Amino acid sequence: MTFLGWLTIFLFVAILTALAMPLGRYMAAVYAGERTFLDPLFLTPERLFYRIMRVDPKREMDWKAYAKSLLIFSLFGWLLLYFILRTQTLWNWTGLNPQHFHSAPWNVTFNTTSSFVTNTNWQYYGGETTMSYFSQMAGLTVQNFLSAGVGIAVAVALIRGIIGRSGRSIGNFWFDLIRTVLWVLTPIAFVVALILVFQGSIQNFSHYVNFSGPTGLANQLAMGPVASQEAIKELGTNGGGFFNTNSAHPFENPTGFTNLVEMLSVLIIPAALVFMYGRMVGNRRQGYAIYATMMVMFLGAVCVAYIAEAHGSPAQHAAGLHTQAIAGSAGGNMEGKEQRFGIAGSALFDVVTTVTSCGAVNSAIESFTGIGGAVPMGNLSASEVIFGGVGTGLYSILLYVLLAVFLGGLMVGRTPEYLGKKIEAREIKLVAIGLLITPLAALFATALATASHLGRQSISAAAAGSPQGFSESLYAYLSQANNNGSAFAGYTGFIQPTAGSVGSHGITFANLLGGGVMLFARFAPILFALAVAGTLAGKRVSPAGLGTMRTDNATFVVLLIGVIVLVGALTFFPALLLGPIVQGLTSHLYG
Amino acid sequence: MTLRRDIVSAGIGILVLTVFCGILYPLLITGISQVAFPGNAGGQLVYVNGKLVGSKIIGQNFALQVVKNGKPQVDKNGNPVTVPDPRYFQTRPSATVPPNNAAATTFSNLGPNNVATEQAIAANIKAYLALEKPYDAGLTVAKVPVDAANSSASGIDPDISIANADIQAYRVAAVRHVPMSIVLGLISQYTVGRGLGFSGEPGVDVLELNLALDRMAGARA
Amino acid sequence: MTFIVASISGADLFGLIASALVCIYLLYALLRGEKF
Repeated sequence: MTFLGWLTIFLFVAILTALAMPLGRYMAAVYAGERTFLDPLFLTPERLFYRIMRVDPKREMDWKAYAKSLLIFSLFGWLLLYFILRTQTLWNWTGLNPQHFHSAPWNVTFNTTSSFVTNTNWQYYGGETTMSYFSQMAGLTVQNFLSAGVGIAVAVALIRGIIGRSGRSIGNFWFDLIRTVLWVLTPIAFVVALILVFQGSIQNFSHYVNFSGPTGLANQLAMGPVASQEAIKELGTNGGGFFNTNSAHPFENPTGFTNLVEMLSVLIIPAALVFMYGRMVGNRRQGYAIYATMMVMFLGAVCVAYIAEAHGSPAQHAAGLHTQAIAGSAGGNMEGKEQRFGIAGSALFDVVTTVTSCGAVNSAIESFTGIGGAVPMGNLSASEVIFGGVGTGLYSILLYVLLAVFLGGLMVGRTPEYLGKKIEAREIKLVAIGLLITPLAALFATALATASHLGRQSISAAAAGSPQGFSESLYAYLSQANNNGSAFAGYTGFIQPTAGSVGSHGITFANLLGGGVMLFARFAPILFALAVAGTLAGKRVSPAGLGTMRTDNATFVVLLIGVIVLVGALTFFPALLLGPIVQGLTSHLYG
Repeated sequence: MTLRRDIVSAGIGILVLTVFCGILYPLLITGISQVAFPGNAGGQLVYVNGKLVGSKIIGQNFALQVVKNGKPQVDKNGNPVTVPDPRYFQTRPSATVPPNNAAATTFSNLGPNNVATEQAIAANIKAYLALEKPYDAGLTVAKVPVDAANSSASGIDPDISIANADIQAYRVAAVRHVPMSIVLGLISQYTVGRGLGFSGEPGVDVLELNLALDRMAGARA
Repeated sequence: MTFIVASISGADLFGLIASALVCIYLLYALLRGEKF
């Protein structure tokens, strides 16, 4: 551990907060239809979109109509992406498939399509050996924008339900979606993409470049329109890398500065949404309380990860390596890490990407120490409410808030109420089921995948028969269920002998189970969140009395953290014990 | 009735949004990038005497193909069998096939409690000592920097730590008959600092360092 | 489906089914509400 490492963490939090507050204020204005400084740029395109799409943005939708529009839109997105990916060579005429890659098999494509439409971006494939530029741009990048838009729309709809006092309306899905794409995602992605190119990320449509190094060895450089995709990949908490090694690849993440920018991009919208929430409900302290909850858990995770990785791994020590920081080398567990990011830059990125539903990586999670690897697993076990994905983090933590209010109400013997609205049996039933869907999906899928030898095919050879193998499986389904997308990357679903997918095959079990889990654990909670929005909308607001439990003070923050940790721990502790924790507690080497 | 309305809006919407997000946006970024930052956008390609020798930010394997009885040796996959070229600084261990393959990057995925990991690290240490110890007599296992023994994440990490470079400097200076002070000076020159002074770790760009040494050798010849 | 069932050992299959049944029962109890 170094002073600069800790300083990086501290400055990161400070910069994030400083940027998120004004963005939250701006976003509140965007969704309320108020004037913003980007209106001259986007009002006309917005009107154009509504006209072409035959949409009346003023049409009020109740939760069922909102859900219907959302699901039909996502379905069309799924169908178009599947089509684009399965017809990859059909688009050669655009010149955007210079390596003439064939399509990946149907099962891998099913998984990839489901993955990108659900904001997961789980990739059983490696980008530079599988995807054409056209697929990456017109297929995957598009879903990076749209899945983010869908997630944010649901959060905004839930907020409207919480504050709505008349009627059952929770807004208009098309309005929320188009406004998110135009006013929020596009401008920020535009700026971030150019910053990335300025620092060295690539952006071209060239063929892969052949060259011989100074010693005469032949090599080939993969190319592509990387920066534009990288920006929205982080900003929309998507996480799918252009290349196989994701943000460890120098063309995706070239410098220590871009590493900082990418991490900020991942958290900026989830953090801003919390401040936006406080504004929209007319009580900014509510937003601060939720932000504090998230930040406490986030910092706890970062500290554990950094300390664990700085300490080094049992394998390193068994081989005789000294892992303490010395002059000219920061030491630590550098297996699967890049020199320019170091231990702090990799640990911080890893936590940032797993508390949200991003899932991009700048280091190999599989190579993290036992405790270091337990941190991302723990983050996923909290069902991604520590900031969480764009939109999903906020609506998930609001469900936890309602649960905490309910438990608090039971403890003090008063009717639970949140922001003046009574939380009744109906709400709590929806909340309870909504919160349990993702953890149960993850656990049942892991159980199925580890019990069935069809599932065990995916475990890497080095890890088979050891706790690491179980960790790989558990992580795979935790990640897909939480729509994260990061992986213990030894876990395979796609066997590809040569680039371009000729002669390749996918492991059907892993691809279908994973795809199903991603779809179910994305859209079912969305439906429940919208249903909660529906029951809360139009509920009568009673003014706060002397006995009302406050939800904007430190006591509530402690209660909320307690509830999140309790639910996560009770659900996942046995599973975590079998994998990462046993490895972290021992210096025994397996295999 | 509203179902049909939704289907129409969704169907048209997905197409226009695909054009906007998937074609217009990347084209705009590409256009601006190629004009404003053409070198970066193209990959910071480096040319020596008009021949392309790599990218400034992509690590390479500075090794020579083994030639036995006039025949270049290849392994069973058709990849060259190589030995490190002692005239050049070496990059970090890479898990790609062949090493530093910039068209098929991969992680090593070696776990922390794995015998295979320990063996891989031990092998890297052994190779490092074999290469460097003849020139740096005080080098022991305990002094080997972690970045020299652990595989990088991308497999094409362009940088090595300053400690790693300082150890290799003994060998490179001796083999090229260049004073150590000059080599150490070049190392400083091609060390990339932290982002904004705090983010990340300093790293020595191995390709730039090696090309600078070649230029110096060419100038002196 | 049968192919998947065949690929699981008897003990694991029993465990999976038992836990699934328990979860379904708890869900049913939640939805039925206080009338227990």
